[in-house]
Amino acid sequence: MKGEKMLNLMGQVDESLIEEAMTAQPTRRKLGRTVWAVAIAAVLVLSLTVGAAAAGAFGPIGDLFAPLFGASESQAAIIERLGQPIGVSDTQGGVTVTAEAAINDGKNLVVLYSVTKDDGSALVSEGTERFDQLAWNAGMDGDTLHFAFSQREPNDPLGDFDYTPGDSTARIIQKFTAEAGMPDRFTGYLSDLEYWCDGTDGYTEVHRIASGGEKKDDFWWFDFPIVPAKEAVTIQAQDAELHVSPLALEAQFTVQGRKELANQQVLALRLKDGRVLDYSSVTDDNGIRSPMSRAQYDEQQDTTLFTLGGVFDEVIPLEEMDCVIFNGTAYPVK
Amino acid sequence: MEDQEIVELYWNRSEDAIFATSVKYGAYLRTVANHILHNEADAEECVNDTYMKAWESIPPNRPRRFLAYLGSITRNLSLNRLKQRAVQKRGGGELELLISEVEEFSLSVPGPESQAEEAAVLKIINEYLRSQPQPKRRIFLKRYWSMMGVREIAEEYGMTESKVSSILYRMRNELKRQLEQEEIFL
Repeated sequence: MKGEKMLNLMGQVDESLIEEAMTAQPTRRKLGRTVWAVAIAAVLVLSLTVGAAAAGAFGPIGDLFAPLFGASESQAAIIERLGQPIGVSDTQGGVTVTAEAAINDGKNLVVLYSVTKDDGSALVSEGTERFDQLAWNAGMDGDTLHFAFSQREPNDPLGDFDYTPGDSTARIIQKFTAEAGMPDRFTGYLSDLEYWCDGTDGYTEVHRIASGGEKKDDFWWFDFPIVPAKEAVTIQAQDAELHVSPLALEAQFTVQGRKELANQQVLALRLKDGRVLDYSSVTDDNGIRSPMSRAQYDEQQDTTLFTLGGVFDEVIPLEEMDCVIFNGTAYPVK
Repeated sequence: MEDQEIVELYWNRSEDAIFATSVKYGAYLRTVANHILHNEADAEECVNDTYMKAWESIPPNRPRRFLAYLGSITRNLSLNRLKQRAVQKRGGGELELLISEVEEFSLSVPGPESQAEEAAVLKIINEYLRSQPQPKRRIFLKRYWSMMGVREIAEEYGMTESKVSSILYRMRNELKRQLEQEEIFL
């Protein structure tokens, strides 16, 4: 059946469904307490861990990532090129989490997990009112990987999810950035799987799905080799090194002495379709910097290395990028 | 005024019927038309034509769900106008995108189609949508019935565009599988 005919046919779906859709009241995501709760959780997690197209069309990894990280053919081709299947599962408290696949560009790593209850029931009951999001904790062994930051919700390094109440499986992705080069193994965990609802009083309601246990040994642990991949462009800016890949944008620059990051550093990626992904660093009244950045002080050199940027919300082919803008200068992506 | 009272006005051939319809549902219908046409003047014309179609079709029809009945007329009129514009090369890009999206599942149903076969497809779509959690089926219908843009849906639901796209992508694939499983060979 041709698409035009199907589009006409869609006009004849059951009137009760049409009425429901036409009169639906949108459920807007609330800002305020929810966002700050995430931000504070993010800071806590960091402080604890930084020290320490059609189904089947894209290939196995492209299909897995498509709903969360890009569903166009060019995106799927990159995912297949940079991706690796994993298939490592861990079960705790009747919930199985499987590290399904990962993609990396040599510096940034995105891991896709699936989460299911062993009894096949929904993780969150269908019809749960004011459902806002899934939340979880994650951590790594060692300090070669950090949580990557997201431009979409710059204060939320927790990753992204694909889930609607009533579904039996959730898919979540967690983004990491390597300190230097990509390590050859990933050893990390998830814990404290929760869902959050917008509370009627303006506060976030937190509901536990499964903890994975109280002790670290009882979390969902994953250990798998990382298949080396590389696809990035390095641009030498006047006073910084800019790294851009289909997964992420990063600026690194060094200043003399032990310094705080200046209040505003402009970093953005302009795409050829005119969109601008803004990773400029701004500190708000509460002292929360968005997007977050890292500062590493080198005592011997008496210098501070700043890193800012983030992992994208979807794969972006390099040929779709126009330029990186850093502190007022545009650097073409070639 | 209750819907059935307005329908009664149509049956009594009272011109107050159109006024009552415009007061109660004019804004809704303009929204439906505007989502498809993105042109207020064209949308207004389609809404006015909707009132005329309702006047011509009630009686003999006695719609039980008046809003959905009106909405379907507005949608069809707006879609036809959009197709005319596409032929005239005026703003057909969004229509082509929508058609390419529904083709992801519609092409699994061979054609040409008889009325009975179309009814079978429609039954599967209805059953599939009823089996879905409410937010997902609303998003699906916002896209493929109301023909809202992904960005508009994302703004309305407070989601990211990629999240809305991913929900639609998964639903198209699920519906494709449902249609294939039912083996409608036309």
